[in-house]
Amino acid sequence: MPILQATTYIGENLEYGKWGYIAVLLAFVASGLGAFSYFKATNNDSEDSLGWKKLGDLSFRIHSAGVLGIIAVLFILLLNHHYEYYYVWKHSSDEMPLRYILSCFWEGQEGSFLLWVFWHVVLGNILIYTAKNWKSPVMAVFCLTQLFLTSMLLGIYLPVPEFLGSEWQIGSNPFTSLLREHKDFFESPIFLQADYLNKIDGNGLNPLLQNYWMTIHPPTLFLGFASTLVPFAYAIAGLWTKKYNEWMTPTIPWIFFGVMILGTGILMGGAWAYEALSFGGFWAWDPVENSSLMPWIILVAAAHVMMIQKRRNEATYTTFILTIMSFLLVLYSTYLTRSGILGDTSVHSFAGGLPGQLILFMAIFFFISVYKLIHNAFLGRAFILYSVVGALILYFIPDDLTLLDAIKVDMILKIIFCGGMIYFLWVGYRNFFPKGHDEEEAFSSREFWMFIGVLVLILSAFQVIVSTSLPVFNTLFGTDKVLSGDPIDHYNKWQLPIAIIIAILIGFTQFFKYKKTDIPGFRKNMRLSFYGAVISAVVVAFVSNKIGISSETAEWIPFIVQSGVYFLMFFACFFAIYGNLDYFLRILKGKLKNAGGSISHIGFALILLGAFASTSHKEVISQNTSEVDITSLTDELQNNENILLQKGDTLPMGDYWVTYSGKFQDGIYVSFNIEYLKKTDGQFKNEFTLNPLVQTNKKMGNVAEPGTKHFVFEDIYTHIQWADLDTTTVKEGTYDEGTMYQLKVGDTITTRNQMIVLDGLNKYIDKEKYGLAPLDLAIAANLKIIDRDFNEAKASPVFVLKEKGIESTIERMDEQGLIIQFAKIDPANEVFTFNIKEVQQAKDDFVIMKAIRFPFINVLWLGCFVMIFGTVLAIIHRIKLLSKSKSSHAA
Amino acid sequence: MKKLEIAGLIIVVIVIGVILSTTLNLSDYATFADAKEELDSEHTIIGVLDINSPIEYTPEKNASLTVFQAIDKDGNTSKVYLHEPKPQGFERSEEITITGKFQGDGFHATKMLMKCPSKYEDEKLEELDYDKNKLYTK
Repeated sequence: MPILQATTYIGENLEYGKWGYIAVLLAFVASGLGAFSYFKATNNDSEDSLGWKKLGDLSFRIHSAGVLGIIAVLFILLLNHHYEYYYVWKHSSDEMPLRYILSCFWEGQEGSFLLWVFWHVVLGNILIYTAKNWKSPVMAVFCLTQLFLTSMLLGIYLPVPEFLGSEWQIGSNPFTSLLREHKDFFESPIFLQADYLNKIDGNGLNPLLQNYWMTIHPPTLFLGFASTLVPFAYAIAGLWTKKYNEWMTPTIPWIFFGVMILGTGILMGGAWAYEALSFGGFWAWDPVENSSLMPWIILVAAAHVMMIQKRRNEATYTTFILTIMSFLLVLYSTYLTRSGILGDTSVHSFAGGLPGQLILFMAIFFFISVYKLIHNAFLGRAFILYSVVGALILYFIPDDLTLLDAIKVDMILKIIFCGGMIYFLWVGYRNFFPKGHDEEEAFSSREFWMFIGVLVLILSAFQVIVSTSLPVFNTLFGTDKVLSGDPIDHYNKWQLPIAIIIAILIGFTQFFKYKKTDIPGFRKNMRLSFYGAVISAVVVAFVSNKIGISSETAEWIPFIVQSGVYFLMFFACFFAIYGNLDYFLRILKGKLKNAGGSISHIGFALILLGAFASTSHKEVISQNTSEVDITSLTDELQNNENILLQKGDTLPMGDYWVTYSGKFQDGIYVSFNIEYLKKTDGQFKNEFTLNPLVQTNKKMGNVAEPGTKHFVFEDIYTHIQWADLDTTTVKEGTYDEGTMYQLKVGDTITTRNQMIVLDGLNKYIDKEKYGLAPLDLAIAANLKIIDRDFNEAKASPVFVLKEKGIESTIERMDEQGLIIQFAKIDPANEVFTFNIKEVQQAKDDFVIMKAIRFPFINVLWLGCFVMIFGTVLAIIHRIKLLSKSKSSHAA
Repeated sequence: MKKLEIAGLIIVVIVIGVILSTTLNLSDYATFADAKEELDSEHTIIGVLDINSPIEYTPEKNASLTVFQAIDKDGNTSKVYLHEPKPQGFERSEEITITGKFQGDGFHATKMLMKCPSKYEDEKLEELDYDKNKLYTK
């Protein structure tokens, strides 16, 4: 809570915050007005609607201006390090390079919503000009979405009745939350100083995000998220205006745009994980990765049914469901990653505070979709009543109410409620939804196999959704379940066979014609790809000399199945590539115009091939060289995947020899020089040097970043697991403080590098040599010094008892790195004390490193480019068709 | 759409398979006591690092072994052998999820997920990360 401050603070600029706040309010109110106007414009007759349309356009433009204003102000604040604002303090710092200001912008919750809102503004403004007749209903959906999204930025506290929690926070606003008012800091004494701003530095950006990929991955991913709104808005518009088929024509280019951008964004995330994270791969089935994958898979399925619908005028309902689902899954994905619910299961989930608002957002869009899909006024009203009553009952029912002491009433009701929703959808579909023609597809038709593909895609998405939603189920049903075993295995077990089926379908489906195909001709067409793929897969199996999915695969999979899957996977990928290449070259005669599908399919198959080849042949080349006996541990626990490299040592590793030749500090980075050598004629030759590094971050913990050598056919990936980050070196030749040792004759002590034995004492020493008076008493110790290689040396420090006191000589032994002083004699116990100083050594400098060989990973990246290129071709083709059909309409 | 209906039916069967397999693959978050009881099976335990005990990691001897004490959700402490190099920022971890088996005098974990305050933006976690009321000064 803000407290009253009498102080005026020097350097604060609260003016910007006011402007930012005004922009937020403007954007929020204008989107609401826009939604209302477009709603009226859709529902009214054509004469009335013009005015509403104009008002809608105006509102959306004001909204756009507001959003741009918010972004501008936030940038100004970040660029000028206005730490009086909590958001700026939290996400940026003085030392941060300019290029990461962008990343700071969207690191926080508000910024990432802002990025999303921004892309909606861009797309919305394009639609205002291109959507023509569809503008009003489509923009109504856009504005409503924007209303919800900008409400996340409001930062308003709403008083509500006590039983609802007395106060609701609506959104969080980067412009009104000041650092000195923040609940964690307002008591800090630093704010008693008027010039506190000169004394504080920002918290800075999460080191994981200080990476090149992190400046381009989030904007691309959010553009992908935003682009799913367009098909969704068109689908709602189609239901709303009862034009069940027409909405798809303008949607097709957009849906492919979404497939392309969202796909690119996901793959960039993979590239980031591969280049900057240290788990040693590009995909880990992490819930955050999964949550962006699910809408993509459904979007791909939606795009394919839409093409069938366009051609054959069937599956209209499926097209609606899938298109709507892809957007709802985007919302769900945002909920998963932003509400913190994934906490325990994900390595990189980002928690935040607005689950309630997000749930409401999701729920409302879900209700709108179902309501529109039910498609009957009476049933619709019944549905509203059912939802409201159901939601109220679920809200107020106590969590701990049980039946028969075991069954949770809460849980049962939730399941019944969800089941009821599905029942409404079913009744709506069966009784009221207009169906297309009811003709049986032939086995030899393209649409039949496309449908099969779509079903398999849905299955794939379903498996990902169910497994990723586990924490949600835990929250819903109050359970505490976790996936046992390796989660990667859990996903691969399903997704690998699915990938094989998809690849095979991709390979042949295009050779089928719509409606019906001549089978002998089809067989002839497929021959080349089929035999080509068989031969390629056999060659791969022989060349790689390795049959089996991966070394880590669970034992329960029998060898024969493993080899079968391995062979099939390669076969399927090659079959998909050859099939589409063949179709492109032979049937399409190499013309790019219509080749979008073939080329993007080749790209997708290459991605699968690259992913499979690099994962199944991924090889950890670093091995444990420690001589420590670890046999007490069972085999499964032995972890030999790390190499210990002493500075200067050269050890064999894989096909190479490696040496660690030093480290250096560059700003916040400590880089390690790992030289890869090849031995030819007994001579080491440097092949390449990798610089894996550790990004030091005092506030948030250090982060290791791998160094990777990219070759055409493989990557060598090197990652520092542990290292001493201190780059200051001890000056040679300085001695430590010294340690007192008490010895009797015959005793042995161990110093850092030697053993020292007190052999005996010598009372008969040459007094002249030491310049002593005849009456002085002197005694020398005979010390034997033995080093690690059993070389012996002798030392005889002397203890002198003079008339006026004690004196002792210092024996300096630079070769051994010792300074020995005979310090004290205890004649009664015959104990002799020595002060031994040891030379300080440069500390043992070593690194613990993991190195992995990824073969053929470039096939995956090549596939990404090919797929993007193919999708762009498809979009261009569809836009051309669209304008052609429009001009033919006009004529 | 007869054939497709059959295909759809097959998919529905597989979907039920997915749900069943996922359900069968589930286990509760365990405690050290559970792990001691069932020595043969793998357990996933959520707990916190006992910051009062030292974290032993001597890479010169075994680069892939980190030994520490952890407290599970029941409040019981156990020795944990993590067969991995000591992760960056381990001392600062807020919560750990370890997977492995109990053997001898401790829990042998093959995998550990750390919840680090740095990776989260949750205000509550932040308090652990930062000394409350401590702002980083220049």
